[in-house]
Amino acid sequence: MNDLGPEARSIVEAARSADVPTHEDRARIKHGVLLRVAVLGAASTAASGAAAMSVATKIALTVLTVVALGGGSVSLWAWKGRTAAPPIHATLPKRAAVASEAPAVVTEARATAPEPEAQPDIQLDIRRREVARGVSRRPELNGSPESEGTKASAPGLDSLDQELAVLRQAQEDLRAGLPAQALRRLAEYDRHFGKGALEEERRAVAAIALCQANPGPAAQAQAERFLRTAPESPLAERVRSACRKSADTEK
Amino acid sequence: MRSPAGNTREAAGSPSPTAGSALDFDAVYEDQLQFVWRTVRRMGVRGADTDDVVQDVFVIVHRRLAEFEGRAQLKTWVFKILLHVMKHYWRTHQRKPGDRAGENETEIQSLIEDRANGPAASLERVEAVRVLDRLLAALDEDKRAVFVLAEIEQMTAAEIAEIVEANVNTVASRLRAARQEFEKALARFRAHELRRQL
Repeated sequence: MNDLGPEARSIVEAARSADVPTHEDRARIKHGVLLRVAVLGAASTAASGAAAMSVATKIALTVLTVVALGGGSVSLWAWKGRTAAPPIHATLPKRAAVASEAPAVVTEARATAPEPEAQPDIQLDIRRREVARGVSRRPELNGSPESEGTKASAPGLDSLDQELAVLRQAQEDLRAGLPAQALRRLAEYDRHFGKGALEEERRAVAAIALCQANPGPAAQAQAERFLRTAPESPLAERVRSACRKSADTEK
Repeated sequence: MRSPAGNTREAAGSPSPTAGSALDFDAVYEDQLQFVWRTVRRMGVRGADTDDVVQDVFVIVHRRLAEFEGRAQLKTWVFKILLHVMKHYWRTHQRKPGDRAGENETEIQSLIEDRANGPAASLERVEAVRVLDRLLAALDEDKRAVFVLAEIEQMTAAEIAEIVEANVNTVASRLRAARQEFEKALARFRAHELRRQL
């Protein structure tokens, strides 16, 4: 095989050593990865934990979970573009229909995937990107003076790992049909991490757990509070669906 | 392409699964990030999208790590994931390898902004990256992938063949063509620079 000439070789070798991720790059990207894994995990929890969920949602979440596990790169773009920024008024059938396009993507790389940029709401897209990058508007993550008084300041990776561990355990409890135990774990999370990096995810899982454990006005109020304060959360629809069904069951 | 003994494949310290053991994501991340990061940037991802694409790769790695059985090199397995992510990126972004328009808008600007003031940065190396990306933009997607793996990541033909799912002869042929196109692009670039100076 013909080798490169000396000038071409020197360009390649100089460039090879020029582009190395810094410690900040490493931490920032890992933070983003773990956040996204946590959100995907919470979504699958919602899917598996509820008898209380509509068929359409189950299909959508199953597809998303399969897609994520199946490793379709496209699926992740699809996930980022679709579920991270759902319109508040999004309906379940529409979401299910959108998500169900994804499997073709997993098995066949030529399938079409949505443009993340196609999201019409710029603010929601910005939020999606912030989540994906591990950036939060919450002051405690940015180390602003407003964060004083909160239990957690800018989280390190160790702290994030611990938060993730508690949330995963809570998810396992939900899968096992033990929402009360999940709530106890989440209370433990509160004591240890306060408003940690995954506070939004914690509140979503807590709302789902409460709706499963004790459907009623208090559970509805907590779900509504979550939806009011985090309407563009990727988990908003899961919370809405889980708590709507539990309210129907109570009637 | 280097011989296996001379390449930069994972050293003895890299994580490798033994029978029945699971790899630790943190170790894999630490071990593979530099490779993924550099390759993503060399494959034509715009600077602003680098984090997103690298995260896509590692989210999939995280999800599928338990499936990795150690039959392939970890780096090979990770690159296969990366290649799928890149293919989607190319499909969903108008600029592809080989598109000359906008080639200067890849990650060059962010590289300069991010690193020009860093203690380890040098203008020569930043310039080398700028030139390299401009030349790589002349290659199509397949040749670019083979060139990056062979010349920058110094993988062997057999490793590349496994990654791109082609036989070794095909890889050798693509690399030969990629090198020729790269040299031609370099000659054009130098001629252009010369004309600008006259």
